[in-house]
Amino acid sequence: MINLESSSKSIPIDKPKPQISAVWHAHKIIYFSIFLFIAAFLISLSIGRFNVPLIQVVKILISQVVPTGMEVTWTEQMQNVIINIRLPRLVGASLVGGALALSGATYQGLFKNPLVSPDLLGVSNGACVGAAIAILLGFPSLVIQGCALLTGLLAVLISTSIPKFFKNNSSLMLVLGGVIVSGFMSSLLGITKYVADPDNQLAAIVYWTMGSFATTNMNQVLLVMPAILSVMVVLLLMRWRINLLSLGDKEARSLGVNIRKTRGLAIFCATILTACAVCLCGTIGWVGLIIPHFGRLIIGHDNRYLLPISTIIGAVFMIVVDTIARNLTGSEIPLSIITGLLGAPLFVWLLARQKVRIS
Amino acid sequence: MCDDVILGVKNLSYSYDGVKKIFANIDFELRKGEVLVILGANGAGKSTLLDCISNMLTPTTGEILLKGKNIAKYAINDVAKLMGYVPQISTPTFSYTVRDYIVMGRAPHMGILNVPGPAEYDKVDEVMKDMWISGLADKIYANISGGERQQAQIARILVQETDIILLDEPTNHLDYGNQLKIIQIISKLARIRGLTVVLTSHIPDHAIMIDEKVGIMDNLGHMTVGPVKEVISEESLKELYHTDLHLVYIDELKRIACVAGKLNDENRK
Repeated sequence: MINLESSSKSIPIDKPKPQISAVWHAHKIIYFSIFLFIAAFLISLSIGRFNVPLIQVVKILISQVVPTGMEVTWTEQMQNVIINIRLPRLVGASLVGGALALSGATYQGLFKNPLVSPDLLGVSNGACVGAAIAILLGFPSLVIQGCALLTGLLAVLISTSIPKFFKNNSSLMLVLGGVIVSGFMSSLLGITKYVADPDNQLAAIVYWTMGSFATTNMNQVLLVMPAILSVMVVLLLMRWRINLLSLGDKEARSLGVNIRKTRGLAIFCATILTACAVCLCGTIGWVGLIIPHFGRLIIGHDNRYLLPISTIIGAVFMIVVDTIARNLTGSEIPLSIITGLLGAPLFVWLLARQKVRIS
Repeated sequence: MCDDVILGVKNLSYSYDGVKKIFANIDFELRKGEVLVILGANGAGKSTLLDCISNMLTPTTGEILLKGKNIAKYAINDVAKLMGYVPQISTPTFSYTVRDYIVMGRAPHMGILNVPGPAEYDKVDEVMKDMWISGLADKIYANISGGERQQAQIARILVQETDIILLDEPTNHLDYGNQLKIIQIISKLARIRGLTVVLTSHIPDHAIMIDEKVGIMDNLGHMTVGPVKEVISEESLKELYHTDLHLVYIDELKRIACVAGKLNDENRK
């Protein structure tokens, strides 16, 4: 071993093996959040206008997985409410919450900016335009979702083409591309609202742009679930590479990272997540922005832990929001209203706790 | 060309947009354990030269040879296995611990979907112990001092296990003690570990102390490269910095030192 120390003074060692406790601490938080997710999921299944005791919820779910050998202690109505009505929307809410939060955390890491949200490159506004046009043309809900997905992805494609057009690969140019496309899509959405029939189409467009799981069924969820889960796995596997990208282009490249390919793949995955989430339930603000902040507060900045924890907390947050949406009043409250009302004060609190220097 | 040349720079030129010339016709060769200190005025193009050598920028003409093979023919990851680069001190937006920052040096040796495990962290611990900076391990990289950050950056490059290291003004913003500490570490890395080092500096004494090769880059984009004794003279330094300075032999140290002249306006050329 070669001693490279130049003077006798060394930096004192505080703890013998600090990393082990730090890793274990992060793992503990992740395990606890998984437990929290399961608890929130089951409790939310039991809560509603038609209350089902928690034990019955568990039994009904077990009976679906292991159909034999269990005494039926619940009514058919209970099973119908749990399996056909609440389960699809809660699975949908978990997927959407996890997808938006993971997408947001990825974008924030990639753009080295903690104030970035997943619709940075115009995916949400683009999806809204597609959905609004489909609503205007009177298409069924499945086609509306398909149109939203396509135009969402198209918007991001245009945003990412702008830096190529100017032959400038900087992150700033990409962000500006997103600003341009978002603004343009917002105007297109305005046009569709302007020409929409105010009695029903306009209301449908507005309702869609505020997000809801009210009409979500299992078929719709199963349609996007494979895409969301597989993309989540890819992003979670490349979570350490996002740490490298957040060092800056020069340092990352000097570490052998192919910036264009790695950033491109991460942006593609994060965009697919947001687009799938938006096409399932409409646009939902705040989740992708504040959940990664919350994650950073409890687990630190390392994307190895931040990405998984953001995914799980995002899912829990969305379950809570959806439970409020369907229980607070007689009719369904659009999700964006609740995420905004909960998110804005939560964000102020988080900023105060983190003492983020915004410069 | 000799086989033992690790880094060869041949007839290198760079101009922005093909119009604004930054430097031209730069040639030098470095072998195992050699150090090249590049001196030059502000804006002379030292950082651009390092960007070209490190494959961040594509030179307008000329080539860079790593172990005899053109750098353009290497995959990005393979360049990173041979050559490490520390840009001027930068603070990352997100707070990583020093240990997590240093482990990033292992990236070229790992698969794209892998995360560092105990083997990678063992290497980090070993290097930190060698550099006597183990006490920094759990501190937040963004919160440590400039001198400590520079040592962490060098540790990151050592973990990268490359043959060549490039450092862009590693002593920038450091106090006098920390500057000497960094220069001492760099000199030891070359002498003891046999690393080939290229660094830029504004202090002629750094080149004199390391006593290897020096490159003086003038404002016209030309660089004179050679051993310290041949290249560094009062005339060459006066011409470079446009000020009065003296090279004084210090008997006790058995070397020369660069000393500024009087603070009179008449001394400025």
